[in-house]
Amino acid sequence: MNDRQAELTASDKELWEWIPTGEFRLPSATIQTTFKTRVQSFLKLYQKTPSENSDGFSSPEKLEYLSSFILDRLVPAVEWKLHGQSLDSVLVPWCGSPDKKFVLILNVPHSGNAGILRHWAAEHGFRVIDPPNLSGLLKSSDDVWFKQFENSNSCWVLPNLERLYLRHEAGLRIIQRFFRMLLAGELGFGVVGCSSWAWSFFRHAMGIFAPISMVAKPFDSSKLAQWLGAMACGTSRRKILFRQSDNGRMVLSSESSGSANKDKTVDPDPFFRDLAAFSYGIPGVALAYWRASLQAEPDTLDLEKNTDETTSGQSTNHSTVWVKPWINIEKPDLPKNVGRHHAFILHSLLLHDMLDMDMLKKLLPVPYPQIGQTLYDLSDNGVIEFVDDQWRVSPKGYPVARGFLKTEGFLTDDFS
Amino acid sequence: MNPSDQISGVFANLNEAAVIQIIIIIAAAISLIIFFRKIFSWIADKLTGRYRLYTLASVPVLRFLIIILAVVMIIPRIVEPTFENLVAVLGALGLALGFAFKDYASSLIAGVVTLYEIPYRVGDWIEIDGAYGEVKSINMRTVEIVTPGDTVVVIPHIKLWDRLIFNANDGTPNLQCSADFYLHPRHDGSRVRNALTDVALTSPFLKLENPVKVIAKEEPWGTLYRIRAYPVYPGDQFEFVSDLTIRGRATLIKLGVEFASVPSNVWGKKA
Repeated sequence: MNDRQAELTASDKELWEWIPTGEFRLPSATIQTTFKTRVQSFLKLYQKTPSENSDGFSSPEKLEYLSSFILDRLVPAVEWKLHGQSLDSVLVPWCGSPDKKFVLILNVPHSGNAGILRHWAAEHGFRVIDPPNLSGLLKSSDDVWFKQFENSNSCWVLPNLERLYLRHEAGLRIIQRFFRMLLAGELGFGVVGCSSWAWSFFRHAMGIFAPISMVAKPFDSSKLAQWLGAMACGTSRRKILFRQSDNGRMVLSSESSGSANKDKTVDPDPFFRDLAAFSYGIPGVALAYWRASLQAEPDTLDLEKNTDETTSGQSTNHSTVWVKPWINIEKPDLPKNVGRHHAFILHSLLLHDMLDMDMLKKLLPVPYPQIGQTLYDLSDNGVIEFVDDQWRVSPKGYPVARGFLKTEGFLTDDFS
Repeated sequence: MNPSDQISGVFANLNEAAVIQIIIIIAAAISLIIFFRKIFSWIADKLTGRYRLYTLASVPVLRFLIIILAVVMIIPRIVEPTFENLVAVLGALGLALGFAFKDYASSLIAGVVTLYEIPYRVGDWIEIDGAYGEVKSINMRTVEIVTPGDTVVVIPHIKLWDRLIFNANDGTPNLQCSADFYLHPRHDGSRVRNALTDVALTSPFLKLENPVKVIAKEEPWGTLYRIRAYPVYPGDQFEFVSDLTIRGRATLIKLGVEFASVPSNVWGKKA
């Protein structure tokens, strides 16, 4: 484990807190942003063409987006295994003497909780049980899969319960049997991780109730600033300053955000408050928007150099990364022709985490060509993405998709 | 004072200038009504869900307020606004309307009543005198509905007085749908109910927050099973029922359940 990982692990417990689902509270945005966003979205309804970007001196001639190499250095992918320890305080005491049949860990999309749970199980040597192949869920025999629970005296972990059902008349059989046996105590005791959307479906469709259900506390502005700052810390020999491109305001500094940044009395920049509110406090979503907000002056950002040269020719011992103002960050839009098919597909993807096109055809009464067209519409707009041969709602598209489905009257998860 | 002097006294203010002002007020009121109807329809087209319904429902209320305002502005330009004059003019007007345009006036009054009793709003699915459809607009005298067969039916508000008005969703997005299955009496009832419940729960049209019920009832030729559930979009009711029917039927066939059929001797009698 290198120094950077050790540092992240030290702050892990502070960042990843687990709370009972009833105590979940979303972070709120600044009043100015809420007002501006509402006005902007209202005006957008009546704009024939999208308005051009007008963010002060962050014109394309002066600022450009970071290369993926530098971006990956400044904002690397999250290593979920580093955060597995955070579950100890919640699960270790229970696993020792379980008086309830199961503990539910809810995974809000892109929160990474399923990954954390999987790594936690591996660290403690608990059996990880994976659901069968999705297409197998529609077949009649499921005895083989349930054999895994036989003679189970120790705790098991099922990190992805949402992959144990299909919203199809033949796809509820295994999950119904699973709940029946689980509640009857025939499966021993275990930790169940489930997508918050799928759990909402189970709760409404089957009346399932979890005796203990926990969820990761949403990241508020302070946590986001601390987390993203810690990521940038140690990526360069020099201090990295993150400054807002329209007014030069200091948003974050790698030095102050590293190990020294434990002073919670210092308010984080309003940018993070808006980021936390818009992303529902979900780390994966916030990370995607943070990456999309970073820019630099052409050929000025070299993380390996000891000194940097500004456009005016002066040498400095820090690098500046420019952060787009929150209101100017491009957010995915729903297609102009958005309708029922888009809603059905987005809802299905969120209920099942991810699906391929063939499975969508089995679940939806939508003609195959229209499923394809709708998927490409949503993909072109950045609302969904193609990962591991399956479609899923993208991190940047999640707030948009969630808001759309809620307005349309579809069942959402409980975290709004 | 003779009667003609009295009448001329009542309409003392009605001169050429007053007539022009009245025409301007009427023209302005009509323009405003048209303007608001168009602008609200335009806004509603951009909105979805309940916001669309609220926007559309506010059009008749706004129109009523504009008309009241116009009448209040016109009356002082026609008559001296004293109590006696108003009673005389409104009484005469009422008498004339009562005889000549009884049904028309009754529909107009019923139109006003609909604004506060709200038996239907734009977006509701209603049935009056056998005509079923979605309310598209509520005018002063009539309500316009569009049937599932894409036919516009214009129904005068006068029906409000003495006809049953069935409102399937009553201003909410909750519209209950039913899908019926007639089965041969020899079957496992609880398996059928569970299977049909799963069929409803797995329909993408289903509004999951609302309850799903499967009721059973013995009929002369078999057992009737009825799924009662709500679609997310009230406008999808027919597609929803079709989806439930097709998938429900396929599921029951897989279960090996026999469907009820009318005995041949009954058909024989009918023929």
